[in-house]
Amino acid sequence: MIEKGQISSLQIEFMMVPTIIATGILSIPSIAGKYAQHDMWMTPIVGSLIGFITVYITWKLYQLYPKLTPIQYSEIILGKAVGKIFSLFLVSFYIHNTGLIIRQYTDFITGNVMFETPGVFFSISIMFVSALAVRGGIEVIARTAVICTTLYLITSLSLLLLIKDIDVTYMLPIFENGLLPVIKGGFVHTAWFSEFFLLSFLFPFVNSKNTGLKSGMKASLYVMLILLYVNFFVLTLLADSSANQFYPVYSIVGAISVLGFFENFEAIITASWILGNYVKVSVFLYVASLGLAQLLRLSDYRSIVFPLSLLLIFFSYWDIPNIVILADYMTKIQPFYFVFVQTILPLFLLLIALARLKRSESS
Amino acid sequence: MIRIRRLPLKKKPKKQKAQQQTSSQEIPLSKKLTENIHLFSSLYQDSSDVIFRSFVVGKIDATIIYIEGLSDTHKLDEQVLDTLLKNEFKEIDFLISIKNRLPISNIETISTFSECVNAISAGNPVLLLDGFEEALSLGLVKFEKRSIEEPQAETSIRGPREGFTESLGVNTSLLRRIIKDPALKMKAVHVGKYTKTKVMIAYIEGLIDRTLIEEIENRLNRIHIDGVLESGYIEQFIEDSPYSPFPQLLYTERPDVASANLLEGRAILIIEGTPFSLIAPVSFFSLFQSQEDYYERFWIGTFIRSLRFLFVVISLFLPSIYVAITTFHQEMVPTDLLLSIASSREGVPFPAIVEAIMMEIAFEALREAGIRLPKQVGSAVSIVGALVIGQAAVQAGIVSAPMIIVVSITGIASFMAPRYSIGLSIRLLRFPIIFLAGFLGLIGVMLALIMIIIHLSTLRSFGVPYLSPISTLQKPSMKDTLIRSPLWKMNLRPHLTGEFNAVRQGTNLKPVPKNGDE
Repeated sequence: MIEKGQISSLQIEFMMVPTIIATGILSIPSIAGKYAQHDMWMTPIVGSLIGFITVYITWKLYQLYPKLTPIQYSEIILGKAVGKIFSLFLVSFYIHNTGLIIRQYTDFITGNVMFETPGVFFSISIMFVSALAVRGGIEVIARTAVICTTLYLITSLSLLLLIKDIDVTYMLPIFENGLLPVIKGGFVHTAWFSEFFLLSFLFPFVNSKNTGLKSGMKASLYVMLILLYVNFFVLTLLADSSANQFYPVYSIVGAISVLGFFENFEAIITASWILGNYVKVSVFLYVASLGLAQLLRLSDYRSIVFPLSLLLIFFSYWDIPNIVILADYMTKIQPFYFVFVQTILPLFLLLIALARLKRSESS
Repeated sequence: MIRIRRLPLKKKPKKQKAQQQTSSQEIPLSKKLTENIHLFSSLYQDSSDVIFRSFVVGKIDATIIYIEGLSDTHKLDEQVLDTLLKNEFKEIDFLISIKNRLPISNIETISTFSECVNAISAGNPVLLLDGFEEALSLGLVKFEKRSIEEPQAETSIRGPREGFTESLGVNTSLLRRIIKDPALKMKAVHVGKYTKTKVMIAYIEGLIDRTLIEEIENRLNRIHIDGVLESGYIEQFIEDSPYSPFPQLLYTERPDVASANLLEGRAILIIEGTPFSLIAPVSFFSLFQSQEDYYERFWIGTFIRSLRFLFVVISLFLPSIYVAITTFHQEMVPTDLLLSIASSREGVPFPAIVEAIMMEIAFEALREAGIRLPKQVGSAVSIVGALVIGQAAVQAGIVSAPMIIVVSITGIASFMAPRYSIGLSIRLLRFPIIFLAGFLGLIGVMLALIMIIIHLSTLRSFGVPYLSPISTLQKPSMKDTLIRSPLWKMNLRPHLTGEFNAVRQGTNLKPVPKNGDE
């Protein structure tokens, strides 16, 4: 096996939570607000269903093929040729997706914190740092994730300082337009929740064989709770106008003021968000390089990490000309595309695998 | 060179032709005394401190060889020569009867030149007799040594005042006096072609993973150098990642610290000629533990420990955060504070990053000069430093006052770590972080933090992940990292490598007054 490291199932939770929310927290409240208006606080609950389903499918596949990643078992399930095509598609999906993450990160920083520095510096630097971690192997990513995620989530507590400014009446009336807007808003989340399929690349390296499902479900639950918490504050502070902002969380953080002295938490929040984003990028980069290495049957994935990182920086500028188009992509394309690749396709894989199993048993 | 990366060792490093000792060594002693004397005097040619004393016992020629100042000549005269010259000995079993008569507790029979040379160098006079292929090494070591004093670099308010000395025998005895169980083992390894320094691996049988001891021995055996003058030599040859700025072994001068580590299943390397013993394996968080954390109440231990972490973060990041904020994120600072910073920076010609680098280097220089200068001049340097670098620089408008404050807080903070070695790493890392902050602002600082975390995650000390137990999420060991939980709650030993004896103490040790009564 290419990767010799082992991680614990608790470390998986630390890895997965920022992997989902790091970019999600930027744009989900805005997009969900567009569809669900004042019911948007409950949209994560709907969205998380896809998360739980994806974790379950991933787990079932893992149980059928322990110690194998999707790149390897897709060949067993679909046969050599089709499996290779599927793997190629999956790897390029993750490469493309990682590029997008880098782009979102760079756009956010150049648009809000560092206005004059060229964005490519930030792309290169986060890519370089993540590549360092990925070259260290999955153990290093897991260990850094524990510390980075802890620091990242601790700063999110600073939203509690806003509790004196919230207006709960913005949440009323509940279900004014029925359930449909909530489901639509929830569907926006599914793009992020379907990313739990990444677990299929991590499960083979967990040291205990039985706790993976529980930790995956728990991670999904935590993500839902955090998004609920964030959406609640965005809604009760900005009301419906959250839909008009690209980064509503960033706006409400700016409103924090304690004793008239501790103000402008934006820089601190951004700084800690970089920690979360680093975890996200390195998990994606790890999956992309491991997947590519397994697809090409390389003996080691470490050698392709840096070349792949360079490619990813190009990808981040390739098909997204500006942030408006990015937002449009995230609203209209991403939910369908991501759920299709990361939930529906694995479901088909699982069904085919189960059918094959049954046939071989009966014969 | 083979670099041993990590435990568990599957393949043992090839047994290097380790002890390729110097020339003439394995030759057995000759029966003729004159031949032996001839060889010894050619070996010790031009060594006027080596003394050959020839005399006659009964009818047999004899010679005692020893080095002046290493052996107790007083006892040699009164006990050895007196007994040998005045008594008659049986011709049969001559050697044994001499051995039985001599009033010395430690006599060894040796038969090769190398053993003789080792005995002489160690301070044991060697008695050679004509007609015998064996010699006697007499345990009469005595040399001047420092008395046991309080360690200078590791002081504490509460706790034993004894410290290790340069003498290996004293150090091992200090450990034996604390840990009386025979399970305390001491394995000796000799390192250094010319110094032949004795290195003792102390450990407690049953608490330590056997493979760890093997690994330490392997790493010690592959050291091939001329001499070991301090534990630092050993440290740099056996650590896992030689290019890392972080210390991967701890050193201590205190027998109580050494014993505490022994009891947690670690090994101690006691090195002849230095009061500093090495502790292996260690984790990053043990660099922030001090013996007093355990001697005082746990609340205080916890509080002081968290203070240390806070100030280590400050000493690592404060100058860079200041540079980042004043250069890129002025909006972060509250308006009043911003105004006062801006007004004091008004006349300063340099950008914040230049200012910071300049002042940090000046501070480092001051600190280094303070150590090197003779004590009488030392105070003059600190006064000049404080005046010139502090007040005058601000008044002249070269440096801003807030920068002086930042640099001095950083300086004080770097002394908060109880281990000097981690303070050194932090001093070193501060500069690249300031550069990153000057170019990328707070994002640069965060990237630096991430890179440091990544580096720490890749490090291992003798197979133990450097960031354990936090990043490996070992719950029992976490009771003694960021916080120091009460002693009666630490029922399990920290898990290091391999098999280990987990239970440290009985459960239910919490002191309860009137146990059993209502």
